Amino acid sequence: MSEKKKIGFYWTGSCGGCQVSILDIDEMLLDVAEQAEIVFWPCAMDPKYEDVKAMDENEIDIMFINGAIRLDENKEMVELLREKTKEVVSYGSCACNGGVFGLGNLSSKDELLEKGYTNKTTDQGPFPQKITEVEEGELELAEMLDHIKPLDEHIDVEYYLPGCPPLPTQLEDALPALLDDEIEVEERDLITDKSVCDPCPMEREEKEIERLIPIQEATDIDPDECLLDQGILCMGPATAGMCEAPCTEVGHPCVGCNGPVKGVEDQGSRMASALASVMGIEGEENKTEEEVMETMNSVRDPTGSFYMFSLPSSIMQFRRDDIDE
Amino acid sequence: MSGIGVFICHCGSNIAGTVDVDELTEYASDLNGVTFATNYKYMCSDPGQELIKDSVEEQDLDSVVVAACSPRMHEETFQAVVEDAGLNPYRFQMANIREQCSWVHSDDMEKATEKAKHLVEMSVEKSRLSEDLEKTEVDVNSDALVIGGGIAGIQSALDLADQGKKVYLVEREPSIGGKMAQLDKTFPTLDCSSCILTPKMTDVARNPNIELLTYSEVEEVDGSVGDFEVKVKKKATYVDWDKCTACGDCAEACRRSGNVEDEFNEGLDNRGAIYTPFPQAVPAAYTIDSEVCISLEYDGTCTSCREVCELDAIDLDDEDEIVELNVGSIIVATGYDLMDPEKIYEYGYGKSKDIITNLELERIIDASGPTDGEIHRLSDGEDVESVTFILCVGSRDEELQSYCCRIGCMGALKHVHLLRDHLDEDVDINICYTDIRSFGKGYEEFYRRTRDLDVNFVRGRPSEVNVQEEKVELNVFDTTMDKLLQVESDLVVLVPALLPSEGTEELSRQLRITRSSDGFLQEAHPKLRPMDTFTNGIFIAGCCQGPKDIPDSVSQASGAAAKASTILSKDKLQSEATIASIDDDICSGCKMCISVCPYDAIEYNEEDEVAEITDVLCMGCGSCASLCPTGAIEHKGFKDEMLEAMIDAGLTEEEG
Repeated sequence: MSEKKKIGFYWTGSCGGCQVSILDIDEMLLDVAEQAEIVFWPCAMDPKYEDVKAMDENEIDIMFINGAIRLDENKEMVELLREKTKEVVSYGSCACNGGVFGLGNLSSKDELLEKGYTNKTTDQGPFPQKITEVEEGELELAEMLDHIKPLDEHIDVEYYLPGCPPLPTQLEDALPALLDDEIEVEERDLITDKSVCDPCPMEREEKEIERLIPIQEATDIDPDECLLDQGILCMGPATAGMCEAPCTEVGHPCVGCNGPVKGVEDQGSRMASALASVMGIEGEENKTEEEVMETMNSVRDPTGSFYMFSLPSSIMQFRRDDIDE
Repeated sequence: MSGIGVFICHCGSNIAGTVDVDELTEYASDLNGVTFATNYKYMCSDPGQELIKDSVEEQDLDSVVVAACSPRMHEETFQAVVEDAGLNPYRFQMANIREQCSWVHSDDMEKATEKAKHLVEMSVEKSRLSEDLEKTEVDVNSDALVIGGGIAGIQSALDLADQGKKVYLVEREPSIGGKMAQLDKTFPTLDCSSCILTPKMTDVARNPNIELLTYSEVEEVDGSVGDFEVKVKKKATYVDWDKCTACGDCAEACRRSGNVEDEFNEGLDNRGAIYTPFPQAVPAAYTIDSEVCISLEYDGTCTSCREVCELDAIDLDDEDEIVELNVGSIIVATGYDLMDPEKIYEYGYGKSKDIITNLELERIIDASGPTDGEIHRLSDGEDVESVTFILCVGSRDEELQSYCCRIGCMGALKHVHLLRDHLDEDVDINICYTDIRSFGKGYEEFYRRTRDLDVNFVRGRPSEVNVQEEKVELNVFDTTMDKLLQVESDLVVLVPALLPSEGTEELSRQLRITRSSDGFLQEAHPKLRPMDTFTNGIFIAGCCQGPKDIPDSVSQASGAAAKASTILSKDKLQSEATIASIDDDICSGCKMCISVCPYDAIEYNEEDEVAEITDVLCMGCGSCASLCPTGAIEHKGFKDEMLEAMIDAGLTEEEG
């Protein structure tokens, strides 16, 4: 057997869930440790920038990077890691598609800072500055980037493993394949062709959705019937299904964390287009303008619903009004 | 080296007058994948077509882009040229630089030329991704089904049978004939209705190519164009029609004789439990109405009819039977029903026997009708001194039926002629009308002749009809005289709106064809495809598509037969090549596409848990492909990659 693979896990702007998901493979970590040497894991160890900089080019075999690229420090760090790594895995929804943080792209950087630092619910304070002069000298802070972009727009990525966070089962399937040179894994092979509907156990009918109902307002939900058929927005049809539909199985609509199925670029527009095609289709030709608006207005927070995890990787990417010609 | 050839058409000065075709040609020749580009005065002309053909060979082209007019105009022309040149016709793309460029930007040659470059580049990009596409073939069953045995259905069936096609004619009632059989005379020629209809009915009965299934209803329709599988329920008649000679002895003997409302006579007289709808019925045979027969209700207790039937034709053990048919095409001719005038309470229908519908009047005037053609007050048999027609009862009415019934005006004018023949000349005849619509051939002349018959034309809709002790009184504001009139009548004839016949909605569901907002069956195009439905192989004729008079119904019926024949005459049908296809490996079975397909071409395969497309039904509209949330559906010839490449090419700014 060849030498042990050198692997690492890195997090940028994230909630930490992806790191927990790595621990979630339980005893399998021991198998991994047998096959690979974990050389870099800030969550568990305490490496310094200098340590990374001191590494050779391509010293690390596989680097799992999760989180959103929110700060210039994130960007610098992933660029540095790219130099030191043979294969990068874009791990989790934030790295793959921008994730929940990506919804920040609906606001400008200034609006976000203003909301965060001058909001009535928080203490009024100065905005974070890149350089702050204090008596003792200059302090430097990481600076927020204008927009969140998926990891692959900053650096080249070899593999994608989305999910918020990816489930242990996904990692259990992925790790052995990635660690074994004999097994060929294509760029997006860890994403399924099929959507969440495929593993979803709910009974489905032809879609005739009159209007959407927020799940918290829905009464009499049939636990065996497709939630979308019951008028509850479920992102299942447009979401990659490698999770095996754990949410819908317990009656919670899919929120779309895996992003689009393999080969689809824009999850949200796919879902919006599909939903727009089937909603209120019954007696469509006789509907008044008001009735059509009522149907449309029943889709609450369309961007937040359709793009909860994938706005930065969508065709829209971010709000455009602050771009100069 | 093989590549794409770009052919730019001047269209005389239509394009060349606005777009710099030489500059465009030079630009096109530099595009990615293009190995040859040229321009010509009229690309659609014979020399233009030859130019394309020769170039394909000489320049070794594998795809062709023609930049000319709209694909609606010449796509098929150039596809045929490309096919002649030995390429797959789907290796041809068309850039519309006339309607979408030169015609709309004739004021700015520079910008028009820039736009033409983009349009050509888009087509070239699409062409680079194009592939050979093949049409699929299905076998065609040459038999036809006609649903509805009124004049339209009869005409369609006869036309198809005359072309040697086997036709199944399904009619819900015991006899064919439909509404026309109930009419006394027809406008504007005043032909006797049954005199012109009954020969056609007997033609149907005699025609060896027609299998008549009366007292039958369509239960289930499956399959698709070329091969429909239809289940028809033949209701039990309790009479062996092979034996019955329609002698009528049974009807006389029937103990319920005279106790059941006679539908054919609009309830103006009564029949028995065993009956034939009218003397000229086809097939000429009796039927037992199972809902009123004493024997069927009380298990054979009454034997009256069986005792008198010398042919032993009565069979109380008769049962409904399901007949399975395989046909290549279906014509729907299910006709109309009159709106129930009781819906307009003010007009008092049902409150007096002297307030009747035009169809009731038709039966009264008919010499073989319930009154033997004698016209008296229905309430007390007294002489009629005044008759008033109310037109547009429920028609052209925003609250009820907004459309015109198209036969009400002319029908009333016809009745005036008939009443003048039957009644004393001093009888008052009033017509309350909204507009007299006499639009058909010879109709306006007929209207003028009617005006000479001493008729009071009152332009206005009566506000109320009141039943008085003897007479019926109505108030109407005459808008031409600006006066409120009070009219007393012995007979008030209501001319109600036309509705799609009962069961049209269910039938449309079974056949998977659409209805328009008025409830009538919807044609595929109001002008250019008036007999087609959106479901390939199913055609419509007569009043099921919308109110019509007899000539229009017959024309449409012949048209529908001709259309059906275009399918039935073929051994095989070719499906479109640019249709949708589903990738089983991607389809996750969300079933969303099934709801949007206007042609019902998609079905769910329960076993594999994926959606499936029936190729011949798919018309390539693209609804499902644009909807599919997993991208499992590909619209051949319009793949996502193609569209994306086109968008990129269209939006790229030219350098410099």
